Amino acid sequence: MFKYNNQITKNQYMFIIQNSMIGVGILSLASEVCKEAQQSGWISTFLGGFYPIFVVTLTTIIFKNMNFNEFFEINRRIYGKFLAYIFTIFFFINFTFFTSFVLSGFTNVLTFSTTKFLSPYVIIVLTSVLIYFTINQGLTNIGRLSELLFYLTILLLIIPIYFINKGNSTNLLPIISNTNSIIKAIPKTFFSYSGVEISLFIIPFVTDTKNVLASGIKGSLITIILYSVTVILTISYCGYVLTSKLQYPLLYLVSAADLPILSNFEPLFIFLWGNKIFQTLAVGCFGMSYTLSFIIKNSYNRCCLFTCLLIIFTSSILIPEHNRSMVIDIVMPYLVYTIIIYTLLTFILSYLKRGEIFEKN
Amino acid sequence: MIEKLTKNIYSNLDVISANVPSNLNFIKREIIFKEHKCYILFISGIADKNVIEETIIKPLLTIKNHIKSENLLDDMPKKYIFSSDINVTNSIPDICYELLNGKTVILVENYDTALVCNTINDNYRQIQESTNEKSIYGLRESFTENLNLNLTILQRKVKNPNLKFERYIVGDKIKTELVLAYIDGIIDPLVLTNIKSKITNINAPALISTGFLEQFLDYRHYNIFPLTKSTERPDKVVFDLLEGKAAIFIAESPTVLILPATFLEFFQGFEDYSERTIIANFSRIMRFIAIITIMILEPIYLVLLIYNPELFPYKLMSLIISSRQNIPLPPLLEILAMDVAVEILREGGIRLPNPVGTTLAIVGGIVIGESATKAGLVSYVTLFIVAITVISTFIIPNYQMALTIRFIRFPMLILGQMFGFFGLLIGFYFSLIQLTKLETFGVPYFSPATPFRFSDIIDSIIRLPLNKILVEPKSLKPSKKSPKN
Repeated sequence: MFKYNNQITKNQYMFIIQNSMIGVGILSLASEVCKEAQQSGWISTFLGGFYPIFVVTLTTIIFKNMNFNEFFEINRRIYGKFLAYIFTIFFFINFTFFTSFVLSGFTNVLTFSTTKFLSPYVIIVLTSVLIYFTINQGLTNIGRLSELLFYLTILLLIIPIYFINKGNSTNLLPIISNTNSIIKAIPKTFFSYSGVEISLFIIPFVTDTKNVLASGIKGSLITIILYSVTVILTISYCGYVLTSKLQYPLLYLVSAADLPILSNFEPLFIFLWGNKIFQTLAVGCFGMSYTLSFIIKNSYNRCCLFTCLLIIFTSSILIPEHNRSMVIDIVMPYLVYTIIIYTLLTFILSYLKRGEIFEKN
Repeated sequence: MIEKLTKNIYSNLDVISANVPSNLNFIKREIIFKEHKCYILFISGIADKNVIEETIIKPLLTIKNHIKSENLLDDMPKKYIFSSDINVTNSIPDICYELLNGKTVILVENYDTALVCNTINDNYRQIQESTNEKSIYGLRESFTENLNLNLTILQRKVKNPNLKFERYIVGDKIKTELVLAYIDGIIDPLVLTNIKSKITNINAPALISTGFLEQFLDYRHYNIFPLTKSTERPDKVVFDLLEGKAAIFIAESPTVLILPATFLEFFQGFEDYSERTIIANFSRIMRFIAIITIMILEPIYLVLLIYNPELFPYKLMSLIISSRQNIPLPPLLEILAMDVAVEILREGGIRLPNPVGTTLAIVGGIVIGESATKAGLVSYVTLFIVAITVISTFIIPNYQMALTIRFIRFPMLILGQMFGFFGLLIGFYFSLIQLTKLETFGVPYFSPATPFRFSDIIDSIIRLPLNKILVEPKSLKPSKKSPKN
């Protein structure tokens, strides 16, 4: 078995939070929001950023109240052993769905774009092996990779910015289409922002917890801005009608450029985005392995292996895109609302119990 | 083996003779001093005969020595022997080791201790300019095979009382002397402890060169990334010592190992610090472009040819189609054939004498390239891609890292052939996983990029003005409170 280490720096915490959300949602987000909010979809995307900020803020306060103990220990002290066990199982299921959605979505995008010739199952198996190597040495390595891959996020932002002069600003007018439709579109952004729940599990491993809230919020803001900018640019280039009809509008946008060496930005975008997806998957799989090691009382390393095998299976089931979309539409709202309720309730209870002396275990 | 000397000089002589190489060079010179039989032992060639004659034999035989002495071994170094460096020992393994180092041993009848005088023959290659590491602005001197001279060169440049040297003897079959040099107070204590513990735990039959030492210091035997740097130039060692690193000198080796070394510093040229800021940054950016070129240019070209030709722009596509007409080899074989030819030429160039090697590389390159394209085995575009890749490898300032980066393109080519763009993606990400997992003597290998340290990153990918960067790097101090991982 490999030795593993879970300690991370505040910077790494910020980048893990930022990375945990960049999944397949970035490609389809513009389409989802434009269906409801039309040209104001970017406002819904920006307002949807309430979810990650809400989760990281309450998480930080909960853990501050409970002296930065580990997730299971905090739940045991607030809810008792049985409920703590149930919540751990819930989060394991949540991360299983999350990673399966991301992996199957990633596979679908690859087979849709640059890797048409490859079997989706080969992509799933190879990606899972890669994720196993990423997570088997613990959170420290995931933190280091997140920090390193942040630089790719900057490049990921630069590609859509290439289209800043090529769009038509009238596509964005009037800025506010309809207040009700903007609000109605907000829940559609939650899938793109999911993954941020990992903060509940990683915050006790931050070596310096001073100003950790600011780091979490900064991490969330980077992703919120990235999403909002990509949605604005997509709408301004394609218009909301075309955007809402496309499956992956951002992919359409990046493949619209005319370049001298490569015909468009698609391969470069897939390369940069693929690295971010690996990282998102690693964060999700860490959440799975970490919770599973509490549930089955087994070593973290062994659980990493189990989780990677499990996501191969679950992602394979979700392979045709219509299967995946159908399951996401059914499951995602329940998961997100449960997490919101859980976080809010735990926040209130931890606030009430904050006077009690808890030693860090 | 008997470990200690006895009072019987003949038995001592027998044990020592049995434990030094039994060749004609081992000299046992018998003399009578103050009515005691003495043996002067040394290995001719390693020890300096003239020094022995002048400082040991001549005084012992010529100075009036009839006055009786109560303790002969005490009197000898004080009154008779002119040698400046004398030790007393009764350990036979130490005596044998010092004999092999070129020292002279004096055994005296009825005494169970011996004198060891420093008579090492210093006839080594003189200080010359390094042929492997040319310098435009730097010093013209390089280290030699003489360990003591190397330490003297360093001491002359680092006039700091905290410069420390620690000697180690390593090797089961052939004992080799190592000297660990560092500046106390600058080097991080955790890094120093890690280095010392690694050195004391080396379990090797022999250490012939720094390359051997480097591999014995790394327990990950299949790791392809170098965790230490080696150099022949004293100015580089001084610079690294000031940054908080350590240097290991090996006896009989002109190369010095510098440790710990992080990934990004392998792409920093020593000359960068002598250039103006903008010019130095231009060179650094070119190096990073070169790394990306080496790693992914050939694999991307291969993937585009095989799986995604639609991603070539129209004008480029027509050029590539016309150049590839009637080429019988598949693209992978075509690229590999050219790569292997270049690697063979490179290897041949290294083995041959310098002028012949250069000629072989130039003539061989032109002839093979020209004949391969004329014969229709390789297209002009492929040849151009391979040539650009090969030339890019010369920009990497460190030879070990250049070899590693050059090697990475082969698995990338195979992954590209098997899985297209997805193969390149997994190859790149897997390399990142390996790099971030590595630690070199307690320092994360990818620092200061991760864990991020702004004060150090300004001298990594880019280089800010010297007054801002000439500070001790925090990333080499893992025991300090700030970011641990």
